[in-house]
Amino acid sequence: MATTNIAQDKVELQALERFREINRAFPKTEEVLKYKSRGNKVFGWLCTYVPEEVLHAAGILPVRITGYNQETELNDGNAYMYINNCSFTRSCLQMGLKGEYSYLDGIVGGSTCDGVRRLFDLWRHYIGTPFDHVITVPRKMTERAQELYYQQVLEFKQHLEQHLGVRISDEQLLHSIEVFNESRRLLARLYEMRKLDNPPVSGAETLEILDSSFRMSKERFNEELRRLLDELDASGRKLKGKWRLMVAGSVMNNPEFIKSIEELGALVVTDELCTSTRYWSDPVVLDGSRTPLEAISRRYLSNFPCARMFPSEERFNRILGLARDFRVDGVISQIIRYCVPYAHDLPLLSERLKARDIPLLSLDVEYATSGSGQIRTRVQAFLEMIEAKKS
Amino acid sequence: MISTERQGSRVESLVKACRLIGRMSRLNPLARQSDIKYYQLLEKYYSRVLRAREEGGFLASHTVFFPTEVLYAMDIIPMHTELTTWLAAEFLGAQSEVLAAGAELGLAPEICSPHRGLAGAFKINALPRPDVVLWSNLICDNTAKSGELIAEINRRPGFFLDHPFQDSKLEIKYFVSELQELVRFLEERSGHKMNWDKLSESIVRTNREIELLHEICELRKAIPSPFHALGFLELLSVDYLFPGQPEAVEYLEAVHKELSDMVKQGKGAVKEEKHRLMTLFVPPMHMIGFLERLYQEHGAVSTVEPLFTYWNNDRLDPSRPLESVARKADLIPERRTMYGPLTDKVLKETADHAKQYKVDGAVYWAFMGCRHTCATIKLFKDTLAEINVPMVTIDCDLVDPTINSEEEIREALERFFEQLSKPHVKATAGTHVLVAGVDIGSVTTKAVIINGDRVLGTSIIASADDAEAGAKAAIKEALERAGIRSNPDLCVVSTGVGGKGLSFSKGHKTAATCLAMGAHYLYHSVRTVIDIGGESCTVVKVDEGGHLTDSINHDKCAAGTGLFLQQMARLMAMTLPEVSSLSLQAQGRADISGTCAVFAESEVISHVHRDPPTPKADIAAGIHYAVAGRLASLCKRVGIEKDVLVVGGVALNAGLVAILEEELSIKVLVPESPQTVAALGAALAASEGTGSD
Repeated sequence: MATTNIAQDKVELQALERFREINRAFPKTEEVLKYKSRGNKVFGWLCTYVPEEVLHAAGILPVRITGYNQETELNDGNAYMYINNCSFTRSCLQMGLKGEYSYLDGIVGGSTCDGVRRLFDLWRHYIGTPFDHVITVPRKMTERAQELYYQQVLEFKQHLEQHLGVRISDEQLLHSIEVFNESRRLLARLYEMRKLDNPPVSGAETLEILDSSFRMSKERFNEELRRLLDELDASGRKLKGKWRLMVAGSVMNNPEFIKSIEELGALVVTDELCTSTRYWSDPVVLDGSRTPLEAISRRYLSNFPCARMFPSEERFNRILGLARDFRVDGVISQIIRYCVPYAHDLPLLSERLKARDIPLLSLDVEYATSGSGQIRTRVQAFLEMIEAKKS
Repeated sequence: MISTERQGSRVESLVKACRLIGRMSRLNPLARQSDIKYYQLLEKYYSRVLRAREEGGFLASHTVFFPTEVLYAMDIIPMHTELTTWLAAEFLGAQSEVLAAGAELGLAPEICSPHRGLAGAFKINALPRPDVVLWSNLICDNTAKSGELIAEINRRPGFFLDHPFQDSKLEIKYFVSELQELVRFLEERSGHKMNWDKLSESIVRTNREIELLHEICELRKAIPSPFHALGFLELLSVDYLFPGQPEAVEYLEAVHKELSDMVKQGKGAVKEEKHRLMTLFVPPMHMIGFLERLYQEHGAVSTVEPLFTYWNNDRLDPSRPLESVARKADLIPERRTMYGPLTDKVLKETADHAKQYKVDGAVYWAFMGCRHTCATIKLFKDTLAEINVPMVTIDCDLVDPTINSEEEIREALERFFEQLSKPHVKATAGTHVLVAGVDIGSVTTKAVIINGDRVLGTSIIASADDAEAGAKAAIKEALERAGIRSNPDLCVVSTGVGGKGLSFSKGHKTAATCLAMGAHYLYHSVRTVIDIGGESCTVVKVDEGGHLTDSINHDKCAAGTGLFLQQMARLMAMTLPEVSSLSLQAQGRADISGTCAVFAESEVISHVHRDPPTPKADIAAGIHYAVAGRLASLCKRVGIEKDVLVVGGVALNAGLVAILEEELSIKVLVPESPQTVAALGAALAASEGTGSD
């Protein structure tokens, strides 16, 4: 098989370097440290069911807790969480135990999955931060579930106000919504470009951008992303890929994984990841019928769902929608070992993809895997299979 | 393709098995009345499930902790899915077909085995086809996610009951509205009406259940404790199957009466009570009979199970039945410990239980399919360590018999029982007779001859196929080294994987105890021993008196063992000593996964063939980092304390030891003869006459 290396066709993007700097330095980035030195607070959050706007409105810099950038021996993670919890949670915990997140003034999580809720328990017991809060996140998206979740968000806001001794006003929330919605609009523009036959940006680069999006202030991110979008418009960059792919499944922060797929001549044009599409896809809708906090809470519960949510059909339909809109030739599902919500959905999802004649490659991976060795071989075989099917 | 069984065959076999066990129990004059009742209840429950179709009943399958009271009040026949797979494992053994069917559906092996088996069982028709499929997120992601697939396999409508994470007023209100929705769903599907009076009556009985459970717990505080070793599983099962029903109350009353009588007579569940245990989580269900015998043999009894038997002592309001059903979920112990935040309050409660029930030790059954309970192992261990209650963690699978052998479980428990017994070791002042210790490992057999506190001779030979002959040869060689040509009548204690059942051995000790004794003899300052053998590695904690205080071993996987290192050396076309010394010269290190020996092999090959190839020294160091990482992780699970002694064949590998020191950030000691420390310990046990069966 001829493997066209897309890197050959592409000019390095200057604006991308700034995002890379952030990712390299994370968690102790210059901006975080500067924030701290000015006496401002930095909070860590886990899972896309934590409404960042509330933190932002309270003048806090929210950063997303993630694990090591590379696949790492997780000695402490294993010792504290046991080996049968997913490597994402073990990786996050180990970084916490090693003091990588020692600057955090608070952590906020949701009752999203077993691994994350236990990570939260262990963090609280063995690491500890001045503020912690866990939000009950219903598994349904019914009106009653919306009510409960709104109350949970409200309680979270009150807890925060009490802890900080401030009041978070509607004006502040409105401002935060505007900042975050602007990010979502800009990211939507970036994804629109990926629908082109020859998109100007690769899948690996997109994940680099997304990674940095929850590691710096949104204001600065928006500014940098605008610069990058302008550069993309001006550059006339056109990436070639023989196959258009979607990546689905567990939490992922490592662009190397996508890069290794793209090095085989494919282009990852879209994804269903909580670190990418599921992070930004739905805006907070302000239509006058809801208070800012209600609008925020509604957006977070009815956003593109995680596999933990019921009914799973909602997520499957969104995946099928993406496959259609981005004209993908195949889907690569990567599921971290012990990521039970996604593992349970796999038989159902593969049925649905099969019914629409969309090829699926399912990979068992560890968090932060670079996609070398066996994975590369399996992807290559998958691409050959798609090729054979096309002709 | 997997063959399809006759509809409901698994349940049919269950009914037969329960009927048979029940009949046998009735004939046995020593059988407990509560047990006879228990089997009758199981038979009743599963006969009803089996007859549902022909008798026009409405059958609902449901996951664990689903509020079954609601189903009974609507005259709907419940089928508890997880318990059915557990019981099938307990009574019928082999689960391979249902697990294979689950795998064929595409369910990953990391998914909890009862749930994998469940979907598989429906797929091959081993369970009756339910009319509706019900499930909830109480207690984990597996229960939350299992229902949609099962509903699709059965082509039946399903209802997911969303149980909130915490127990605030609003969350209970949400849960009540979920229950209302469930009732509407069931009324619509079954055509049955909810009988609210019936539901209220079940709440009255639930209150009685809670009362009885509390009294039973109180009775179990007695010394000796009256309830049989793993009887708590029966308590659970009855509440899972008949919550709030007359059957549950009747059974609990029978247990209560039996235990009261025993306590009055001062009778215990085991002949001679030696170890009072706290049980955390659930042992392998297919080994219950074996474990009951093993506990009996060692005078062990479980007196408290904080994850299961200790209900919140609260009462429910029968006049508000649906709310009471919702609130019941917050009274059950599983909710406190397994779902919802695991707070310091819950941990403190566990420590209090350990004290109240006077437990000597705790056993944590680390079921690999249960992620969220395993994530609490360290929390519980640390909590109990604060009040000096040791805890052993045993990796296992609840229903898959291919994961653990009875021998492995026996070894782990016996080692723990030895630790709890704390034999008095005076290794420096033994009786002055010639004794031998022999350690039969997977690669080498070692023997040590001592006289009192003097080591006279040691030997190391390759292990033979016949352990008995190998042990004899090793002892003979050690005697020769000691300059003893005659064939004296030696007292021999054996240890190691092949050390059991030697005809001439006076006794057998687990490697952990021997390592503790041997290490203490060599260096009184040693508190941690790391033994890296051919096929396993063990970490042992020793106190200042030479007593074993904790141990952990790893033998399920070759990564991190001597054989792994040998294999890697072979791939590099070098000898082990060459790899060892080369590693000390490394400038960098190759990335090699410590997680899996098979993957590590392909990684080493790719480093060797890379263009340009990775320097051999870096590969050697990479291999050692992988092994050392694995060992460090094991050490951290028991906690490392100075001084640290590294023993076993791999201790001779200076390259590895250097990297291990780096990974642990600690200097370690290596004895002159690291391979014979366990054999030395066995000899010391022989000398003290502590080696017993």
